[in-house]
Amino acid sequence: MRHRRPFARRSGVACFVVLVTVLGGVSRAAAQEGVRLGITYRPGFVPALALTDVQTDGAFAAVVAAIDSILARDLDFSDRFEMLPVPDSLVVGSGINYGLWNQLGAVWLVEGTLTVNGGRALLRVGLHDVVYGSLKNVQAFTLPPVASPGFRMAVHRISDAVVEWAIGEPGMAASRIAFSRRAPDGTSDLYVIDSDGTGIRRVTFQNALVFSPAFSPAGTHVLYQYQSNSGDESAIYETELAGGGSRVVASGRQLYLTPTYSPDGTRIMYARSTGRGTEIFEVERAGGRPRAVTSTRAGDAVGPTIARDGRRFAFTASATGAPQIYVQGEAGTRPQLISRFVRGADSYATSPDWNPRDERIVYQARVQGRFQIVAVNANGTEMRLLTAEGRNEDPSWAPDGRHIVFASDRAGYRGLWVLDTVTGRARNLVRKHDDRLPDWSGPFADDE
Amino acid sequence: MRQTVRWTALAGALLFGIVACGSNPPPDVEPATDEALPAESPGPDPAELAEAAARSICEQAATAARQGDYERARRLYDEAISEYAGTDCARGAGAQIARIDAIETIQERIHFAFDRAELSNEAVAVLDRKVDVLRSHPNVQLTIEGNCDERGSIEYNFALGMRRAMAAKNYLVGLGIAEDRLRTVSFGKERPLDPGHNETAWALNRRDDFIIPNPNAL
Repeated sequence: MRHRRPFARRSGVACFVVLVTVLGGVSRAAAQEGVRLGITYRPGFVPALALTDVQTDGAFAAVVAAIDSILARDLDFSDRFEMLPVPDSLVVGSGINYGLWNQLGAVWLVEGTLTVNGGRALLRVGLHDVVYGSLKNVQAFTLPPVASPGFRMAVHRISDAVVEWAIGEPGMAASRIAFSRRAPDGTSDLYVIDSDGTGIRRVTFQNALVFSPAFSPAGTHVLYQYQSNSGDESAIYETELAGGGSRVVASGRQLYLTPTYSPDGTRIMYARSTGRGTEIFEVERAGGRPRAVTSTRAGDAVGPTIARDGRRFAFTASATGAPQIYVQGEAGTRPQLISRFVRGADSYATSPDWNPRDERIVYQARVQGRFQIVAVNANGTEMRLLTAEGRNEDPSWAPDGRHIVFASDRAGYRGLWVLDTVTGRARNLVRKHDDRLPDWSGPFADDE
Repeated sequence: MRQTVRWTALAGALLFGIVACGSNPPPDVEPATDEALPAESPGPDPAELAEAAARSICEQAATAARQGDYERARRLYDEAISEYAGTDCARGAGAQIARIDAIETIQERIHFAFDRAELSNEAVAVLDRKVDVLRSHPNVQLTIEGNCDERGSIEYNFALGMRRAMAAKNYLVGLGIAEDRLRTVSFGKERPLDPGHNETAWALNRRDDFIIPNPNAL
């Protein structure tokens, strides 16, 4: 192996290990258990990747420039690579000089060629393993016209393919984030934005209280909580993003909130108030009779998130008096507490989201009086603090199971942020609006 | 203040009388002035003047009540009673004051401890006062709106707000108020009374609001 740059990204973001000891009762109690809740990022080896300009015959310079910039940003935002600056003098011709790229420190090299035949744009992309001096993978992708709405997403999918070829794990470029934006008049509506922060668009026009969006697995539909401004109407809606058609999933005189899909998209869970508190209900997406799946009786159970196995789910409940995170198996089985509850301490944990690829659950917990994002395994082990500055809320996993999006005021203004839970690198996604309750979609498929 | 209101009303009534008297003057007569008014003219009936003044006060009071300025409305009705006894307005003012008292009793907020939905002793006393009014006005409906301070999470606060609304509803139902008269809703932390970020604001914002959707039933 000739990996000369085992810790390539030295910028201080990647390799820092900060142990933030949690003060107050939580830390004292935790210390007694021999556990500390701290921020620890250990990214390990980050391979350097060189992305060369896409080659073409000259008539499609604008298209190529768009492709180059989208690919560069996506591969950077994947946080899987150290992006290597490519000197202008280095042009990829007919052959790849692996020795030269090796000298520059590249581990991976990405090159592409755009051809247009009969109005169809074909982008052939190759990934080279510079260390072994071989072509790792190559594929031709059909691209829609650059002005069409699907163009950027098509390029995002190519970025994700490169990540998958190089790392063997999915990317998250071809995905979107839905969130609730509060207008100055106090009403909220839903917006959707691409994972790279472009293409923002408003998707509901209720001018009412619209919260808690949740993408369908294919990303074609969004569930949300609707409440009229007078409070008279409360419902769970499902809206189709492309056509804009909506239907009522559940409604009535009770309060309906926090909807979510099962990973296979066939079921919907949501919380509904009862006479005494709030319980979680489940209904087939095709319709039918909703059934209660929690029985906290006097507590408030809200915010379900379903495991990738489709059976277990995590939720917030206040059985102890303070809201905490629980995991439950089949309906009627006993819920297990997985957040750290200390009686009498300033203990408050809500808003869980189950990782789409593994057993980790992220949620928000009060730490030293402010909300921070915490990750923990579904069995309560390996608790990690992911944020420490500002107020951080409502996390949602990316389809790569590695990044999260959340609402934060860490920069002195409200906005949505994306955090890589491996390196600790954070980027601002949307800023200077009162944007809340983000939900990260799954991967957007080809037939969008 | 009382005097101001009274004189404003009287002046208004006088002006009304003058305009009414001058409505049919001979075309060649000089413009009417105070001196030009013949002393022996019958003039407006003092009782009618008082009635007009009181009517004006009652209208102002009704407007104030509609706008939720119950203090001003109550003061104006008191004025009508003490200064314009015998007028229609004064005769109805007592009932109007009782109505305002009833509205204020029903609308009086209750407050909660942080992250709790249990009723405090103070809240129970406030609710007990509502029961009397609700019993004597059986057609009055009530929407109970639960609210939270800004410190909790958005979604959980909707549930907590609902539990705060239910706590009040269940107490009222326990005292015999029909369940179908009471509606519970939650606004979570979306409708703060005080936008501040301190304990005073938070304490104010952890509350139930009581809205009468059909105020004419009172």
